Amino acid sequence: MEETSLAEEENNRSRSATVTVATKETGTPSGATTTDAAADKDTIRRDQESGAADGQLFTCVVCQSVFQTHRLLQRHRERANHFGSTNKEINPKTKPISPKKKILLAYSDPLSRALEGSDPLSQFVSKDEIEGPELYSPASNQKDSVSQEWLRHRTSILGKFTTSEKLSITSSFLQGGEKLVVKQQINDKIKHRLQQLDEFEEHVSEHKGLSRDDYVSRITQISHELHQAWALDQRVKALKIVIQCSKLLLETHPFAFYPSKFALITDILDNFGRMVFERIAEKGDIRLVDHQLPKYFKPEHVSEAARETCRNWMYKIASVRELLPRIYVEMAVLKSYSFLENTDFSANLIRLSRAIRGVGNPLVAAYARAYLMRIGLEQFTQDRSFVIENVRDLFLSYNQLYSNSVRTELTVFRIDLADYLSLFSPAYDWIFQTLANTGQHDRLDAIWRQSFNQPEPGLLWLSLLSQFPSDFVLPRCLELALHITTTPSTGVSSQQLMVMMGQVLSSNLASSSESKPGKMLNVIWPYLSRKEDAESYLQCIEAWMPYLLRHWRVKEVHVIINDIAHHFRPKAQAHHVSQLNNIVHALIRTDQIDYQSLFTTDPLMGLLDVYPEGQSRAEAAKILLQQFLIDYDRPLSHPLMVDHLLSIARILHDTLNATSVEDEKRQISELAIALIDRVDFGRDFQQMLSFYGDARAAFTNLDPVLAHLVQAINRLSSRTRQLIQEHNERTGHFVRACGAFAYITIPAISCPMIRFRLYLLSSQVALANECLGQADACLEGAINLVTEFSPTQEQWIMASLSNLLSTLLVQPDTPDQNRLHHLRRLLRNARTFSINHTMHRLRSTIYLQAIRLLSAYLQPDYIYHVPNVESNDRLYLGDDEFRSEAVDYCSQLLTELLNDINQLGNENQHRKQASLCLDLFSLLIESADLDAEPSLSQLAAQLYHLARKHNQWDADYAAFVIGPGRSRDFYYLMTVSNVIFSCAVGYSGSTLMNETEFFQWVKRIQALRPPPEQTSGSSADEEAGLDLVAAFRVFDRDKNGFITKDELRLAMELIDESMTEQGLNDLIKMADVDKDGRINYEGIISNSILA
Amino acid sequence: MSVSLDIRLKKPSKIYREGESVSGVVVISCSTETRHEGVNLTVEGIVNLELSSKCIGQYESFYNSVKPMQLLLNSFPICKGSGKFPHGMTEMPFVFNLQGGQTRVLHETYHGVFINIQYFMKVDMKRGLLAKDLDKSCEFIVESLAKSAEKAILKPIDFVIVPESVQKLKRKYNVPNFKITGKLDSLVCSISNPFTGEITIESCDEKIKSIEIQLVRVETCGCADGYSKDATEIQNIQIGDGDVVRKVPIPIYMVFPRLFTCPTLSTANFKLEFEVNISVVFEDNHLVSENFPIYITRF
Repeated sequence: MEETSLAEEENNRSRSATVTVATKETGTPSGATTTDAAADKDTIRRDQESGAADGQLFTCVVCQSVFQTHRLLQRHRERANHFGSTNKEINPKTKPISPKKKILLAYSDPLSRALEGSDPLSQFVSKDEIEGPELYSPASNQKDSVSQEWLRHRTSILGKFTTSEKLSITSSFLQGGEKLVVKQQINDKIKHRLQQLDEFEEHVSEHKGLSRDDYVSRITQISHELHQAWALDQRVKALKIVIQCSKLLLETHPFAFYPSKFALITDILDNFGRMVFERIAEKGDIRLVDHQLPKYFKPEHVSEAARETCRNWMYKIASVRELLPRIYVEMAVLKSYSFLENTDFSANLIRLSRAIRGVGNPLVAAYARAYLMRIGLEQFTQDRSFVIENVRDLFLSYNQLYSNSVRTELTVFRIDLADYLSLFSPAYDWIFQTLANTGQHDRLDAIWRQSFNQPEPGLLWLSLLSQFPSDFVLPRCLELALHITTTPSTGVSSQQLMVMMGQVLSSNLASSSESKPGKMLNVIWPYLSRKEDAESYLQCIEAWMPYLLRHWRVKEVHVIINDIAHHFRPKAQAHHVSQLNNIVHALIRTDQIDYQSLFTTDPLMGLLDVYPEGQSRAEAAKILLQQFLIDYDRPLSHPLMVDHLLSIARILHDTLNATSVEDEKRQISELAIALIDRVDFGRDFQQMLSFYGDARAAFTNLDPVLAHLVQAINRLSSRTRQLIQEHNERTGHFVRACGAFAYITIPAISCPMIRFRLYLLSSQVALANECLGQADACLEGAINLVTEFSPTQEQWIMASLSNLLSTLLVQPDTPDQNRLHHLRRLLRNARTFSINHTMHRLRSTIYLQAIRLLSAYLQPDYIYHVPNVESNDRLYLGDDEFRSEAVDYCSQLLTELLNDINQLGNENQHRKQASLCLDLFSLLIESADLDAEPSLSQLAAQLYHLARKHNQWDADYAAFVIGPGRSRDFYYLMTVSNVIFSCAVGYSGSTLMNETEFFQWVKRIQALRPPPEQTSGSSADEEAGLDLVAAFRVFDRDKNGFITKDELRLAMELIDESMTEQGLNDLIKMADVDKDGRINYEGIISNSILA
Repeated sequence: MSVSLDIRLKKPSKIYREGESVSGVVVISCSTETRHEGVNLTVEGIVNLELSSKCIGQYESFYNSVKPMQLLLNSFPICKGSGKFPHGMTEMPFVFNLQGGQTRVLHETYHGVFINIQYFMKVDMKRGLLAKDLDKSCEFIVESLAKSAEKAILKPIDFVIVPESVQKLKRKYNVPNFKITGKLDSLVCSISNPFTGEITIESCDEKIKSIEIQLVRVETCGCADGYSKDATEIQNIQIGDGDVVRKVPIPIYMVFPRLFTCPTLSTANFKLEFEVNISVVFEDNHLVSENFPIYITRF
């Protein structure tokens, strides 16, 4: 019962722990960090954008932000761990008291039931109960802590001590198995009669060849059996079961399983003890509070009957023949003594402790003592003298461990002494832990002194070191170390002890100065370095490393590292790797680590060298790098250090191969990138460049790193330009070298999109640095990539292409190529996408953009320039040949586009056609001189018509094309109105647009207008009217406010729309509001607006 | 139509001293109304003596069984005359004074092999002609009075066992070299306190298998043709298991079992004595044993 409730509590506890961790995680700190991170990202992106715009500052957004979040995460995790661990420590104290168990009275007297409530005794008891838990809490907490401590201990024992050997169990309470008692054949009558007698007859059966799990399940079965017997009121049987269980503890073979067996069987004993206790309490009408006696309990409260029962148990147990079962069972029911008298438990405990002296097998005795300690602590005796007694007895019989009988036993079972001794540790640990918890340092000191007098005290020291409080142990370590290193020992090797001591010292680094480090190191180091065997050396070093590192200076640390490396020359074994890793961890986790000296000298590299090739070395390298990057916050400028770090990172990189996981690649890339970012030689750009060269050579397989390097090199040349406003010859060469570096690095990257972007970026930077040749080459590279794009990222491609084309504007033609070489090249590439190609839209975009570019080329003075770079406008200075070539090219493109439109129409791809038409339409109104070229405005009108024709246009896209951003432009709006009106004029009555449609359009255009920012006193409506009026004025030749038939005809001719007289009349009639034979457009507009 | 009788004593331990009043109830539970011709309670104390066949032979033991000695016989009615018990449970309380005869002392209860000292109370219900009489008996325990009983006086004893002190039974057996010392806290023991002492294996060449203390009763019955004396084991308690550590005193601790032990008693007809054997069993199952007669008192 208690067991399950404890388990539940444990669950609850862990659950609450996780909950608190979770809340901590989602609490303010993390929230802050994430928003910070987001903010960081934003600023970076903004930086990047602005950088891309002027080609000066470039950072790899993706990589950096990813790395940043990675580090944040890591810190976060550490924090979470921290919370987790403190929670664990705090929790037992805040553990809620489990609900008290209600005892069901098996027998309820009607009389007493009637009395209930008014009975003064029960009132008294209930009062106790109310006051009980509160007052009792320290004691019960103490008990809880004991039992919890034990549960922890138990779990570790069960986990640690298992065996693959076959076990056997002898019990009369298990079904099956071979029966050892052979029944005689008796005639039926007697048999039947005997059967009644034989209810408890022991069919001792032996189960042989059990595996560990089988064994455990048998024990569970026994425990089940015990509960059953108890439930059936077969107390004698229950007692027998318990005795048999304890008898199992006499059998120590197979040794390795013994501690686990102990744990399992004591569970049963505990159960039994509790059952007896609760039964007597029930009998004595004692209400238990939380399985404990109430605070004001006195044995006098117990009824005579209950005491008699209790006494009977005690007599029964006292007459158990065998020693060990008697001791164990008595320990189990010890608690029940409290019913008999105001027991001084300690007297009983001391008696039991003495009785254990009679147990000859030291292993059995040790565990019996451990159990005694546990039982003793669970009683609330203030007197802890039994603890001392117990330890004293332990010391008395300690030499039994090395007696002949043990030796012969070991040889019989062929067990190593060291292995055998290790079985004692859990018991001894528990005993000394209990002793340490009494907290009397003078007593501890006495025990400590006594341990020196024991022969072969290694085993004792192991437990003393690990269990005694650190402030007690630390000052005494030196003496002990001296002792250990000078005297040889057989059982527990000195190495084991040294490892333990190292662990103790290393885990108490904060107060470790108490251990007189100076002298200590003098003792320790010779011992450690003398060790020949790599295995044991490694164990010791691993344990001592943190301590050594803390108390030694740089020089000595190097000595250690050298020494470690020396021990493993030429190569360490694979199974040493994890320990070596721990050492590396310790090395780099020290508080005052001097990275500079660590990474500038050879020992560390030597240490890495002894690692076996491949994964394990990479693991160590990763540890080093990660920790370094987290701790070392200054920029790296020491060349040697950089060199070493680079080679460490290179180790990592070299482990990658085709089978490496993507995630691992990413991790390594992050590390490498972080390292590259950290390196900063200040103004020594030349060195930076050579470092980048080295890095490129080191990380050839990591695309992200290469990409980052290109970014970095671009940043480098941008910085150069920033510093030196005008390039001199040297810097010129330098930036050219940078450009070349970028140019030769980019092709190694596999993703075409990244390559494209990097090319573009590099060309821009090169251009900014007046390296025309490099810029040219990079542009060339970028343009060649156009065919490799995948269609999935259309948006991105469009944006990048626009960027490319804008760069092309400032890039002057090279003399050795024909004019507009890049543009032609690009278009040639684009031409490969036919109309049915998935990238067709890309092609038309390129065309449209190219037309825009060409129109920009044709301007006498380009809208932007790169300083010190002569763009084509300066180069050709309005050269007619260039102009005509551009114009030709432009019209060629236009023709091709129209062809496309045509073809799309033929193939009934109206949607595509509509959008292309709209694009072209918008292009025309935007950049064509519609006034000067009526043919163009006619074309625009046709395009618009076409776009509308199949009712398949994308309204949103149209709104975008004729969108608010553009309608701000008065000229633009006018043109739109113009064209639309022409549409209205040309097709009214036939198909395209009737009157209402026209007005709808007018309204629509008004709606598209941005909020009236440019209003200067006049209202929005007036403004809109004025816009339209302006459009109509185009038609109104004599500017009298009316469009006559002649004017309309002229206008129609203007847009090449020949109309019949009738048509004109119709049109006029339609638009003529006041029936005077002419269109009063002011009237129309005011009407339309007011309508 | 079932009737059952039961005696419930007020004292759960059922232990009484001479002169004490014994109280309790007789519980009669019946499923229907039951007629009876009177209910009587009889209190009886008997010493049963039996001669062991070992001493005087089979034949004699069969014939010469000694007559049981009556220590106490009292009978009194609980329900006089005839009457009816109603359906259900009827409790009839009784009280009597536990008093021996003029000459006879009430010896303490003792359960042995050849000698038994037992006290019973028996309730019997007489019924009509057609129905069987019913009875039910119940044993209770008598302890001697504090006034009259002897007090234990401390009589410690030290002992040493060495090969020379051992009487060899078999010449062939090569007695290993050993030295065992020890002490008993007292040879005169109070029955309510445990028997204590300690034993130390100072040295022993042979491996030890077990150390045990054996409680033995020595029962002597006198009869016309002499007497029989028999020693039988009451209990055997292991105090050392396996090859115990040398030179460390191992405690001797034994609780005297109830009923099977009583204060040492010596009367004209019989004698009850107790002994303790301390034995060390070696690995080869040979054992060395030392015998200590002890004197048990009540207080």
